[in-house]
Amino acid sequence: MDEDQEELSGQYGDGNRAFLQSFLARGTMTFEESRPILAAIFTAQENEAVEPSQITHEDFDSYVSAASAAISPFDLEIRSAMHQTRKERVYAVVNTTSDPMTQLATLHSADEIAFVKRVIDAMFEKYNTPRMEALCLDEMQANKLRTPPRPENEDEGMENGETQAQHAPKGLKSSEVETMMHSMVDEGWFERSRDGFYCLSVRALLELRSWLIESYNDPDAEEGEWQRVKFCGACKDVVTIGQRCAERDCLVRLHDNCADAFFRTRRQRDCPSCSKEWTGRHFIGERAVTETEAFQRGRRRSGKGARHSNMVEEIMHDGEEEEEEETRNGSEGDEE
Amino acid sequence: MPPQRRRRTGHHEGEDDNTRHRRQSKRAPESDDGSGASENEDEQDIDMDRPAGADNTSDDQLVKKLVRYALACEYARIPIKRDGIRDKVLGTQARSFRRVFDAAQEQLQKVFGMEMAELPVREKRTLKDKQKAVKRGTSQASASSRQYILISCLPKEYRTQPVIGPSRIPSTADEAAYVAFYTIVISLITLSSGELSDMKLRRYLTRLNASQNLPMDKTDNVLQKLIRQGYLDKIVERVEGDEDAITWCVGPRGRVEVSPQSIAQVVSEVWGDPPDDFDKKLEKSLGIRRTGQASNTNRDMEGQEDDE
Repeated sequence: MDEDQEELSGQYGDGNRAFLQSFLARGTMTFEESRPILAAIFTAQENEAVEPSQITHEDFDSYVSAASAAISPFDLEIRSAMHQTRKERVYAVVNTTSDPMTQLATLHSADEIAFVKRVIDAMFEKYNTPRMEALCLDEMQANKLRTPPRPENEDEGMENGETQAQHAPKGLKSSEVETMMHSMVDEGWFERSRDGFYCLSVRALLELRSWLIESYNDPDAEEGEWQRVKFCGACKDVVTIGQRCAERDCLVRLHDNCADAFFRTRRQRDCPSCSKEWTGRHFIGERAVTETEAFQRGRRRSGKGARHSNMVEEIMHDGEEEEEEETRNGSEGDEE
Repeated sequence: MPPQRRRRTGHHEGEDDNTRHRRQSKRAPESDDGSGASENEDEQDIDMDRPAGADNTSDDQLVKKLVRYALACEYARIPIKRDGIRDKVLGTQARSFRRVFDAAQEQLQKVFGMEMAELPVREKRTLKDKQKAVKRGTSQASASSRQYILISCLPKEYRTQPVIGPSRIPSTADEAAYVAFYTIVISLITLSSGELSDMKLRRYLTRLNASQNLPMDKTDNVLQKLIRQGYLDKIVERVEGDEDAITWCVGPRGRVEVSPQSIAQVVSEVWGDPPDDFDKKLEKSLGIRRTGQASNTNRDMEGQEDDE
């Protein structure tokens, strides 16, 4: 690691390596989080104390792009997206290929992974309908997913039950569900809101973006058809928390931050696609549940913190049933 | 001083775009011919019929796979095994092990500031094991463990808390507590000349108020995990007509990851206001040699025990 190597690696130095290690250990980083790290690196480089407050966006950007370029030969990349609720850009190291190798990098058992898959499925399928795009669930609902669904060919299964039982995936215990949901939050894959809803984190959206689209969206869907994974009309990133057009069949969705910026530049607050007035009171994400009359009523009744355990499930379920009714009647109703 | 100067160190040359492009364009030849050429020289047994170009691209793929494999193993604190590399990375090209390994090592150092360090062989500690080894005629020194772990090879100035803070997996607090716990236990064992009876270890843990529970789990579960991950070794010797004698030693990963230098730092930190010849004694106890001075380790060990 003498001159030769220095020559080869160009401008990429120990400071960059230290930054990359730090990034890998954290998985994600924001500009604010990077400041003490870069300050320590600069201090080491210059033998002179550098304060976190002296770190600029340019410093951060140059280290991020150098790291991203350096790891790209290994099918790793640093991608970024705005956080959907905080006004902060989140950077994450993302695998651009997924192979058995990356699966090894998970610290969880196959049963736990299968459970997480069921949770994500529920977020995007069961709790994500044109009527109510909640895209999140609470602990009660997660708990219901603890056992894998029974195989469809149950009768057959009964006959040669012995062989089946051996390979049947096991479910999780209730206590394990709780631990698992919390560790998904700690590891940065889920986020838990104050009202106790779990949704995918920005990091998960960055890492799983193509997988989500592949798994939940219909590639043959026609233009203008409702899809499970939705994109922000302004920034084009995936949106799971934000606002939707008041017109139910209109597909425009915006992040809260993006909506603010978007309408600041326009004279009228109306939907860019169908021109209906943009209320900002129609939601995608947990507010699709928490802003409903039923939820508010329930909260008032039971006081803060303690809510009727099945309430969320009932609200989301009602959403579904109404929708079925409506499609049958072919009528349109206002949401609120 | 002025931010401009500092920014220059970040970019090393000022304009980010330019340097980045240069770096990228440099990158390609470096992995294609730069290392390729030298490899071909010492690997005379490779298939010469294949065009050199094709050979290099497939080598690049293998190097990439090995780097990813190494990172994945480290993430779960699983040792990087030579057999694992053979199965999961090399596949049919098992013969290119040395070449691919060296190239991957170089990439890990250059890009990530890490390297694969070979784990020491598990020592034969019990009498039985030693006898077995003698019978088989294997000597401890020559054997290779065929296992590696990733360690950081950054210069000391960069190994400060803000830079190499605990990983957030499983959570920052748990990881910090875990690292702290094994560092303390390994320090205790090392300073007790490399082994600690179960009774003594339990006594230390009681004094640390850690005999039953730790922030992340029950103490016994954590100790099991430390054995599994190679931080500690637990040696059980059967004693006729008595309870088994249990001895705790530092495991292979522990020996590589927790260096005598870091133990010295922990001890100084815990000690607070050390006596005059403290550093010297400590270094000798830990077998750290300053500028090649050989020292009488035994005598100083005794000194260390007196101090306690």
